[in-house]
Amino acid sequence: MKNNSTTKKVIIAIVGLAAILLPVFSSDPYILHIAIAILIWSMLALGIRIVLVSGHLNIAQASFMGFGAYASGALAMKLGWSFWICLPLAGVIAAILAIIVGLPTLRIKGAYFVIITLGLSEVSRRIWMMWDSLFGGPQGLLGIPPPDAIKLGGLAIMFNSKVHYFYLAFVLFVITVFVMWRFEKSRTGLLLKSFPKADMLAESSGVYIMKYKVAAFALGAFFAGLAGSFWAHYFTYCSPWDFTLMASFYMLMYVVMGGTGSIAGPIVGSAVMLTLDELLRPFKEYMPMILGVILILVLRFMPGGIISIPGLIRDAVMRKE
Amino acid sequence: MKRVISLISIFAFICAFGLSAGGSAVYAAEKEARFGILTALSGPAAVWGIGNSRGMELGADEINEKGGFKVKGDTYKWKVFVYDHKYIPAEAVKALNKAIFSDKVSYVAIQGGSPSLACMPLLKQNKILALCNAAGGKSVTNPDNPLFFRFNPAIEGAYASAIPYIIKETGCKTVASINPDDETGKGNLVASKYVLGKLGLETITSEFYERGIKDFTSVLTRVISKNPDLIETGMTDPTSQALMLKQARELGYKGAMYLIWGPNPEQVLKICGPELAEGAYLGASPAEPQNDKQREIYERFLKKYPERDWDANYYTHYALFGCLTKAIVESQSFDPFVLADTLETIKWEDAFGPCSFGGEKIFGIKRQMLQYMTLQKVENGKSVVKVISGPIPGILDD
Repeated sequence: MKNNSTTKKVIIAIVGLAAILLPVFSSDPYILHIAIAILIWSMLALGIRIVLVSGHLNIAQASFMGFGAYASGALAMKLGWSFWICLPLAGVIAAILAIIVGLPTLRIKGAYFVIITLGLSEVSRRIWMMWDSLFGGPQGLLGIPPPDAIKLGGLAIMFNSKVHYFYLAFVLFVITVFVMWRFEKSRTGLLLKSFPKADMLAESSGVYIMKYKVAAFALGAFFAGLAGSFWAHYFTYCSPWDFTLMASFYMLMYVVMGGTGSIAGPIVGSAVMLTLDELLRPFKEYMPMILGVILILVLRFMPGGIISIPGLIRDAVMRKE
Repeated sequence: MKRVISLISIFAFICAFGLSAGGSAVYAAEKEARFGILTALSGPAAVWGIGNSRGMELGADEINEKGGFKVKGDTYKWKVFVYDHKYIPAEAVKALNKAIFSDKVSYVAIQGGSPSLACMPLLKQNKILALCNAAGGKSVTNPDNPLFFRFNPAIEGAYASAIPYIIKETGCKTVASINPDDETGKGNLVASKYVLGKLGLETITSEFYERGIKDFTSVLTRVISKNPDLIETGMTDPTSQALMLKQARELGYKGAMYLIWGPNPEQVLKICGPELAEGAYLGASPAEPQNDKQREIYERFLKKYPERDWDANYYTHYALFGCLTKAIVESQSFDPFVLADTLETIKWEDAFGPCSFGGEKIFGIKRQMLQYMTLQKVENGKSVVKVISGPIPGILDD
C-alpha cells in the first residue's frame, strides 16, 4: 500500500515537472496552445466530475464557463477592471449562479436534473445572443484586453507570449486539482461519494445532503468560471458558440474517457482526447467518426476509462502468473 | 490482456498515421506556397464547409497540375492544409495555431463570421493574409484589418442584382426576412434592410430561427400573418431554404419567395415538388455547366468526388487559388501587404465572368469580392435563368 502511494507521488512529481519544463523544451506556440487547452479543459472536466461523484450529471458546465468568460470580459471592457480582479470575480459569479440554480434543482435526480441543466445551457446561450449591448449578441465580445502585466520588483510579465499564458493556466490548473483533491478527501467528499447509492440513508442519519450537493455544484462552477475568464482574456474574444451544449458534451466525454473513479481520470481524458483530436486532423471529415469509435471501444472494454489501463495490465499479468 | 494490447495497438496505429500524414509536407523537396483552409468539416455548418474546402482544393490542383507558378525564377506549387473548426471559435483558433506555427502556412481561408472574429488577433499578430468565406459585417471587414478579404459573393450584391427584377415582375412593395439567429443571420438582415430600402422595398417584419431546425411552421405563420408581398430566406442553408418554401406554400402563402443563398435548383424541386416550387426565385447558378470553364471544373470534380455531392457553389470557391496566384505572379511577391495591395487592383476571371474586390462604400476598404450573380426562377417544373448581373453601382461602390 505504501509502495503504491509512493509510486503515485513519484509519477505526479515527474508529470508536474515535465509540465513546468514544457516551455523550456518546446517554445512552439502551437504545442503551447494545445497544452493550455488541455489544462483549461481539465479544469472544466474536473468540475463535471465532482458533481458526478454526488450522483448528478451536469451538462451546463460550458454555461458556467461562459458566464465566467462574459462576466470577466464585460467587466474588463465596460468598467476597465483589471483581469486580476475579474478572474476571481468570474469564478464567484459562476458559483453564485450555481447556488441559485442548484438550491431548488439538486433535489431532483436522474434524467430530470439533466434536463434542467440542458435548459440552463440553452437559456444562457439565448441571454448572450439577445443582450447585444452587454454581451455583443451573436458576434460576441470583441477586443477583451489581455491580462495586465505582473510587476515583481524590476521584472514585468507582460502576457505577450503563449509561455506566460501557459504558466498562468498551469497555476490555475494546480489550484483546481489541489482544491478538488482536498475537497474529495474531506468529510464532505466522503459523504458526497455515498449519495449516489445511499442518499436516503445519509439523510435519515441527519445529514443535510443538499448542503453538500450544492457545495459540489458551486465548486465545479467556480472553476468553470475561472477557466472561462482565462479563456476570454487569452483569446481576447468570446462568443456564444464557444459555450454550447456540445462543449459540455465534450467535457463529459473527457471525464468518461479518462475515468470517473479518480481526479486523474478527467485530466488524462482531456490530455488524450485533445491530443488525438490534433493527431487525427489528417482524417478531415472522418475524424468525428473515428473519435466516436474510440469512445465506444473504451466504454466497452475499459469501463474504468483510460486511467484503468495500468490496473487492467497488472490484473492480467497476475492472472497469468 | 489481449484486449488491452489490441486497444493500445489501435491507439498507436492512429497516432502513427496521424503523425505521418501530418508530417509529410514538411519533408517535401519542391518549393511550395502553403495555404490553410479552416472550415467546418463536422457539425451543422459542414453542409457548406465540406463543399467550400473541396472547391478550393480543386482550384489548387489545377494550378499544380499545370506546373505551378513562377516567382523570381523559382517555380512554386500550392500545398493546401485543411482543418476542421466545427464552426466553433475556440476550435478555429486551435486550428489556426496549428496552421501558422506547425504547418507554416502563409495564407488562410476561414469559413464563418465567429471563427473569423476569434482568429483575428492571431491573424494580425502574424501578418497572415486571409481570403475568407465569412459574414461578420464591418467587425470583420474594415480598414483596420487590411489583410482580411471576403472571398464570398457580397450579400448586398446578391440582393441588388435580383430584387429589381422581382419587383418588376411581381410589383411587390413589402418584404419579410427570415434568418438564422447567429452572427451571419443578423449581419445579413442589416445588409438586406440597407439594400432593399434603397431599392424601394419596405421590410415589414423579420424573424430569426435556431440554426439546425427543420420545422419552420411557427416562424412562417408569424411572417405570413403580416401579409408580405415577398419572403426572402436570408442566410438560411440551401436545404432549409427549400423546406421553408415547401412549408410556406403548405401554409397557404401565395406571394413571391426569394431563396437567396445558393439553393440547388434540383434539390428545391425534389424537396418541394414542381407544384409547390413553381414561381420561386432562386439566387443560384445552374449546377449544370454553362460554359467551358464550368465544364472543366465539373469534370475535375467528378474525377475526385461523387456526382451527388455536386452543386454550383463549387464554381465560386474554385476561383480562390486562381485569384491569389494571379496576385502573387503579378506582384512577384509573397509579402502579405504587397499582395493585399495587388488584390485590391487586379481583376480575374471566375466561372461566371470578371471579378474584382470592392465594397469601399460599405466597409471603407476594398475587401469584398465582386462577381456576377445569377437569378433563376422555377417555371413549369424547371429552373430558368432570368438575370445574370455584375455589381450594381451605388450599392457596394459608387
